[in-house]
Amino acid sequence: MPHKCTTCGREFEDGSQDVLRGCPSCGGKRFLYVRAEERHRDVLEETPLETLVEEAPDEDVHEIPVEVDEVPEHPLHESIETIRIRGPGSYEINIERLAQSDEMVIGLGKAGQYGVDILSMGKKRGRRRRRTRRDL
Amino acid sequence: MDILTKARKRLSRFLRVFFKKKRSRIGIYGPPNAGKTTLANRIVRDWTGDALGPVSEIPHETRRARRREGVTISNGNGDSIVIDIVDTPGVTTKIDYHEFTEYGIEKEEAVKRAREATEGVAEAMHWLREDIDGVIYMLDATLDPFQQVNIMMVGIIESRDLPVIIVANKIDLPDASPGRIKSAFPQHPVIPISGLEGTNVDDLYEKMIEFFG
Repeated sequence: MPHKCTTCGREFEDGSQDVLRGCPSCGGKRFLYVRAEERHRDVLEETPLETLVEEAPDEDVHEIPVEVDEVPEHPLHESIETIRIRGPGSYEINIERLAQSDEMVIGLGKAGQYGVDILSMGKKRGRRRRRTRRDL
Repeated sequence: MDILTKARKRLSRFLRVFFKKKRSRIGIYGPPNAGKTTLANRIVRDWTGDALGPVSEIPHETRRARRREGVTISNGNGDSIVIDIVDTPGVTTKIDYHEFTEYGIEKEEAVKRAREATEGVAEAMHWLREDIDGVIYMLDATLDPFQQVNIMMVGIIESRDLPVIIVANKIDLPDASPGRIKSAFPQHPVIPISGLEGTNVDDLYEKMIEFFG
């Protein structure tokens, strides 16, 4: 088990895909390569993993590059965007906003960046709305 | 069937003829892989002999809403309804292309599918807002129904005053627990079925005639 998550200490077998994706337990993105003889050092010597990381040569510490903000600043249901594009092929969808209108505000990558689809805001009202208006 | 229900049905039939009310448009909604297309295919095949769309174990196989118009459903008592059935893409709050690469799909195709699936959710919500008269909300009975997306969607459907039948699908599987779905949504009728094997779908048709008629 040559890798340990530096956040929660979970161990991963050699060749585990989780080391490339992120720790399934805590979402940690940094892993320390541990040799078999040092596997239990953190527990037996009561050395915090952070210290082991500091002592380890750079090539033993594997970190997954973070391309976009992993945690949005606000929960999506409170935010103004309809859809947030977190990266190529990765989306968060605010179905409560979609249930209200077709108007599209697209969140882009990092929090605080938006695209506004003005065309979607100029569309005529739908059938239900028209029917209500006629009833009035 | 009690007298009140019969009277209500007669009245609604009379009003429909009198005001030439268009047929009901019923949307099949639910999370990905709940069995929406399997049920839509079964309904369309049972009543028209046709099919609506391809089914797959890969989530988000349906990425555009599909519609079949003028499907007549009837029972042995001579009651019937004519509906347009709309099979919608699975509604979810997160779509990531890794969901597809896990099934061996190449990254480029997976990214494309993720984008189409996201557009599909927007389309499904558009239909719900503009053009749906009743909802069949499909749930996989082997999974926990108390997921945020289900609670949110049923809340949205209720807020639009749309009649909803909740279908607890996949009862052919040993882990299925339709009772859990009944306790999650006690305010709505819950029909346990196996869309794949056709178990109990007659009960669903009966409920659709009663509920959407």
